[in-house]
Amino acid sequence: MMRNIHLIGLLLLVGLTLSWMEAKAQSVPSRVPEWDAKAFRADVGRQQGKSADTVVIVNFWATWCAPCVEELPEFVRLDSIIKARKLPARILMVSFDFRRDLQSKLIPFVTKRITDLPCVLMVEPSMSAFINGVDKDWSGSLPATLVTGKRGSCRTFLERQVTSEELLELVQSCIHSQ
Amino acid sequence: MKTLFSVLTALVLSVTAFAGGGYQVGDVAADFSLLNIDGKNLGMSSRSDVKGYIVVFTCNHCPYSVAYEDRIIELHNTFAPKGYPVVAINPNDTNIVPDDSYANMIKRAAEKKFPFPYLYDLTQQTAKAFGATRTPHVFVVEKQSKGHVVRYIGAIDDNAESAEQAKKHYVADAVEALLRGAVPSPDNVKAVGCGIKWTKK
Repeated sequence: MMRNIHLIGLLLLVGLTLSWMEAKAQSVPSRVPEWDAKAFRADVGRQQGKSADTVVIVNFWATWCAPCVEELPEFVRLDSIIKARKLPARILMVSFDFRRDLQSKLIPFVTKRITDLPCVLMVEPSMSAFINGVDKDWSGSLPATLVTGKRGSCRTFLERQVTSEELLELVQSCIHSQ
Repeated sequence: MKTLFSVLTALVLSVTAFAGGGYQVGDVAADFSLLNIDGKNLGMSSRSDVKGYIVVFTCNHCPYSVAYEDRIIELHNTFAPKGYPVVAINPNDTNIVPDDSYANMIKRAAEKKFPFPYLYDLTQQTAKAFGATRTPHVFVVEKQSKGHVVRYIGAIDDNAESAEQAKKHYVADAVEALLRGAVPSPDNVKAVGCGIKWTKK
């Protein structure tokens, strides 16, 4: 009888440990979470509270897009300027890589090349609507960059390669217009 | 006065060209004459036995284009016998992307046994006239008495990654509609693609 109780206790302990470990594993967010259009709008479209005045710079890119990869250092540079000057701005990288390449290509690439920049993988099924939602003049070609301020004020969309200098200018005029 | 008029006309034309940004659905597409992989020049009026064309701006190097290669071949095999053959056009500056050179176009077409012409838009004027911005970028044109009328612009289907998982087959549906004498709907669907590599001035 006593032995059975011990056994049950042991099993319970093992079970609890396993479920705790599982919960912990799930609570660690992926370096590159998968987002649909709704998740994107929730993050970029409606900024509330403390972050309401933050200017968001969104870069649409992919690891397979050569001009995108070429301009990545511009965003890393811009990010360091934002942090050094404590500007109310943040960068979001939105990748259009294939989903099957998420673990094998995108996450290793992001971890190595754009360490400090938050990156998400766009997995929206209605891509045409998403593209039009970002900007009706966006044809869908990569790279493209959106700079947007409080509630869509000072919104600029660029369907081409950009430099950190021009983005910084846009960010600063955005901050002043708010 | 005459000079002023022509200057004004040129100004208006250039502004229109700038604002227009290529063809819209309903526009008549100007014919082109581009070098095919077989060494001959080809245009839309080269064939009189067709109802129209599935014009696909595509290239060798772009992973989105590569992902769609088999589907473009399938579109041709399905619709060429019905009067809508595929015409593929590579608009990229091959100095920027050597993979897209004329020699490599010939090589890729042979590897994939392209059953359709694969044209080289050396001056990029055709891509600019159409308003192509990315690869792949499709324009379905219908041959009418007034010319080749653009009836559909945009994506091939709604899943670049997997043909099997695509739920909407925009180009196939648009051509089917035209064959029925109906209006394609939707007639303009955006998708992500590789930006066309324009020659830097």
